[in-house]
Amino acid sequence: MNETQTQQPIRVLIIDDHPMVREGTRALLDRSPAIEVMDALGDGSAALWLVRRRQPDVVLLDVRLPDISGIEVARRLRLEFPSIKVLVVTGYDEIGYARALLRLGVRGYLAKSASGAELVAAIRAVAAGNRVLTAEAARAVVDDGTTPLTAREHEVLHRLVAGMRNAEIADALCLSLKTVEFHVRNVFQKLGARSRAEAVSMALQRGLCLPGGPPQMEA
Amino acid sequence: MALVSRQRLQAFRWSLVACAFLGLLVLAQASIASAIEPPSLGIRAVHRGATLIVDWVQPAGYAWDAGVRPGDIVIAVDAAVDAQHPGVPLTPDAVAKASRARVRSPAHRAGGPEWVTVSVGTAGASAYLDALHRRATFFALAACFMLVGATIYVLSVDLATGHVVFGLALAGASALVAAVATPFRTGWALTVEHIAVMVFCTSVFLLFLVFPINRLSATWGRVAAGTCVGLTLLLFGLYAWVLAINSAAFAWLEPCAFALMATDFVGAVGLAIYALVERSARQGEVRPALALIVLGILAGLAPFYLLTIVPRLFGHRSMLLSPESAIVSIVLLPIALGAAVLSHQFPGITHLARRGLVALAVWTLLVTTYTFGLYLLYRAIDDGIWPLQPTLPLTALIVAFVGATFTPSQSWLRRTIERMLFHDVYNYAEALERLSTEIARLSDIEAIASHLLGSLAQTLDLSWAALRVCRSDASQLDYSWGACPTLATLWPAPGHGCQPVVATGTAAGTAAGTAAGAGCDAELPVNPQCAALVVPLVAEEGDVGTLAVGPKRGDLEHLPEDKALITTLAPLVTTALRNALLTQSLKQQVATLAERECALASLTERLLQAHEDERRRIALDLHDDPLQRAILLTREMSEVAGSGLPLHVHRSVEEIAVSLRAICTGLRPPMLDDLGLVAALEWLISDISVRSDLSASLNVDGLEPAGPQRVAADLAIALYRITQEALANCAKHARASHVSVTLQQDAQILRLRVVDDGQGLDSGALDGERPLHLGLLGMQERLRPWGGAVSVSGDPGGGTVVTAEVRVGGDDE
Repeated sequence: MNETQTQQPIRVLIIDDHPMVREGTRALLDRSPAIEVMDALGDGSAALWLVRRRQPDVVLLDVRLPDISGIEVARRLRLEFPSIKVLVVTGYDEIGYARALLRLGVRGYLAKSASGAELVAAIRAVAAGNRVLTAEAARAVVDDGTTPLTAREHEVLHRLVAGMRNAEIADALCLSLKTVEFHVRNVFQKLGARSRAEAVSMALQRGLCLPGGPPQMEA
Repeated sequence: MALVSRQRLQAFRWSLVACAFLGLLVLAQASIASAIEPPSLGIRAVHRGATLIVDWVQPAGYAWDAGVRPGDIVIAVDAAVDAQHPGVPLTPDAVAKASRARVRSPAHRAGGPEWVTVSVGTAGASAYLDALHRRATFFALAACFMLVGATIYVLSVDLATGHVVFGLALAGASALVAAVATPFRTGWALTVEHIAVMVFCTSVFLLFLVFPINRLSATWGRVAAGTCVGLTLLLFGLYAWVLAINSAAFAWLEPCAFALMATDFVGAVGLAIYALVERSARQGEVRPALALIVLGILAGLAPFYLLTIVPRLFGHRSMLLSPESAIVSIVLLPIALGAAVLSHQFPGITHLARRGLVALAVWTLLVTTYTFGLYLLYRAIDDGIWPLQPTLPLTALIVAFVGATFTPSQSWLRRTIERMLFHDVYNYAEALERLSTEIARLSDIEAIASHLLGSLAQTLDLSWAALRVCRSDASQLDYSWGACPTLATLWPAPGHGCQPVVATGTAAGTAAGTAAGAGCDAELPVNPQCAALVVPLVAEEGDVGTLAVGPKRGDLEHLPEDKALITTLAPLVTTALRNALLTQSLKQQVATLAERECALASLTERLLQAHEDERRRIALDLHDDPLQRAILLTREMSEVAGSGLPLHVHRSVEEIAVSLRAICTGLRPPMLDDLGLVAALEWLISDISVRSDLSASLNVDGLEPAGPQRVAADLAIALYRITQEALANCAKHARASHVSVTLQQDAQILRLRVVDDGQGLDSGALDGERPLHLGLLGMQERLRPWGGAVSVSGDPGGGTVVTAEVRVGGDDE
């Protein structure tokens, strides 16, 4: 990897419809000498046009685009330029997205909230031919139920096991109901549970909700 | 009896005519029998002192023709005339019976003979015929009288006129035949003869007043008829005066009588010509046929005039034609009518005339048969003695027999012949049955109206007919057939369309007493402006409309039978129209409801669409700005992690992003657009298990999970929302522990089933305003644009099944 870095920077194309995120990402990547941001574009068709003219090494792709969806862009890129590595950076962390995109040959699937270091590392890994997946994406592919829970998810799980309803959990943690549901869903996915009863029994089985257990950070 | 058919009425008339005719025959027999007595001179005398003075001379008798006048002195009678033989007593009785007489004028005229000798049969070139010749002539004339009168009577649609003419003809013929009986023997013979001839002339004039165009409807026509009849009656009185008091006045009365007869004839001819040349569109097309009829009648009547009136008018005492030529009338009248019928140019009268022709033929046949039978009867009774003195009982018996048998046999014969000849003869019972059956079968207003008007007009041979139907909203529908007058004429009061201004019966040209005379006419109101019968169609709950029946073609009047038909049909038509009106208003209501439902459905669809669009827009707005900013902020904070920023701040910012994303997804799941229905349903399933205690599962059959979109985007949204609603219901009401969602697609049907294991539905759960019912309505509205159906079923305790089915095209396969 170091050889690649010294010899030639990785040419990256950013496709994100949100200008602030786009420019933020560009500024973030510009600080890394091994990466050269070729351009940052807001819509899919312009990006496809640019890719056809100047083939980048890696394309950072958002799913939500104003004209054609990121999924469609990924499909066309795979058909036309199988050599270009596509790294999806998205706000969506649903399993469905990860599954659909990985089926389209996307090399990496990263949450937008990922830090700069994570992003740079992911770009390098993808450029080197490796796959990079967030924890959620990984679960979408290999649903083994072994992914560790975040601290917030632990808190939620504790209250789940205590038999609290979502609204009560929201009150207790000063969160909105929607947020609690989000966390509960993540807990279900990580445990491989399909209902609250299952989730509770699995958590008790694995000893995940022992009182005072240190919150584990996500990898 | 309210209803007497035209046929029966005519049969009755023909029978009456036949009875009268046969009565005349019997009378003629009696006349001839009594006419063999020797004739007399026709003078009467009274004693004035020693002499016998003539006080009365039979007008136009032998004595009259020889110049004897009242006031002359009778010198001798019979044998005493030649021999001066006083053996014959000179008494008034002897004078009355004398066959010869010598009379001296009191005022001796210079140069003239001192006296006049007059004898029977020696009146020189007297106009009078011998007995046989006279009898034959008078029989022909009497038959002619009867035939004209009877034809008018039977054919006439105007009963009053028919009665008048028939009565006159009968009286005239009777008088003529009676006059035969006493040619010269009695004083009234010639007077009766003259009266009979005058009656005939008057009836001829009246005939042309009512035929072919009824002038009695006009004022001048009534005045003419009244004047004619009045003058005739006046002359009757004068003749009576001459007969009883002053026979000398006959000298100036005779020219007056002949002048009236000539005027009658000229008037009749003038009326006929006027009818021919009258510039009227209605009669224009029928003029040739009309001319034919008029010529036939004139040709039939002319012999009589030529025989009797014209020679006398010019002072001739001889005949221009042989008297038997009067028989021509009997032949010419039917021929003229027949020719007119065959010309097909006279549709109005065709109907009537050809029936009349058949009736005339039947009548002639029957009368001939009866006459021959009568002759044979006389022969059998009184072995060949001719003439026979009939007895009163025998005559009465014969007339009664004829009266009893004539009507049925004539009716049967006519019906048989008409059936053979005319297939379109209008039969009252059949027409009524046919019309009522057809009308009862129809249910549409327009069909009823056009059918009624068309059939009625064709059956009755109308020139036009109109129908006005009043709807419940006070609007009117007008239908017409034929050359209908303008609506303003037809329905004079525009504001009260259903209550036309009418006059009753007699005012509109129908002769007075029509209804009373027939005894069977329904009294129908008449619109005087267009001579139409107006039949209000009144149902129990109000006016349904009005039927206006115009005059028949050829300006003929309506028959009593026609009126009966119309009156009988009216309630049937009323019922049919009322039903049709009700049906129509019901259909309109149904259509309005359907229209409103359609409008509501499209409104609902648009509302749902707008709702979806709005949610989508809000989701996008949230996603595009606040969420992105939150994500960026999270990332920047992680960049500066460890620089003293508290961890909970970082996590709070993260929570904001999470919360925003959750809101966006709830508003409009992005995977529905990006990944398709199956992915969205998967998310929904996971969402329901997160939000409730339910465990949920999704089975997909026939659709590739998360594959390329195969369900139309709008349909996908609809199915997604239906599933969402069903799952929400399940979580809220069902008390279920598991719910399974099945999406299944076979060749043409996309089926979505949401099945739970909850408490099921109690009865009434889907009624009225209950939430489940409203939810179901909402789901059904979602699928309406695709013609899909949503059903909810479930027994108490047996779980609930929500099924949504939508037919999708084969293209989706």
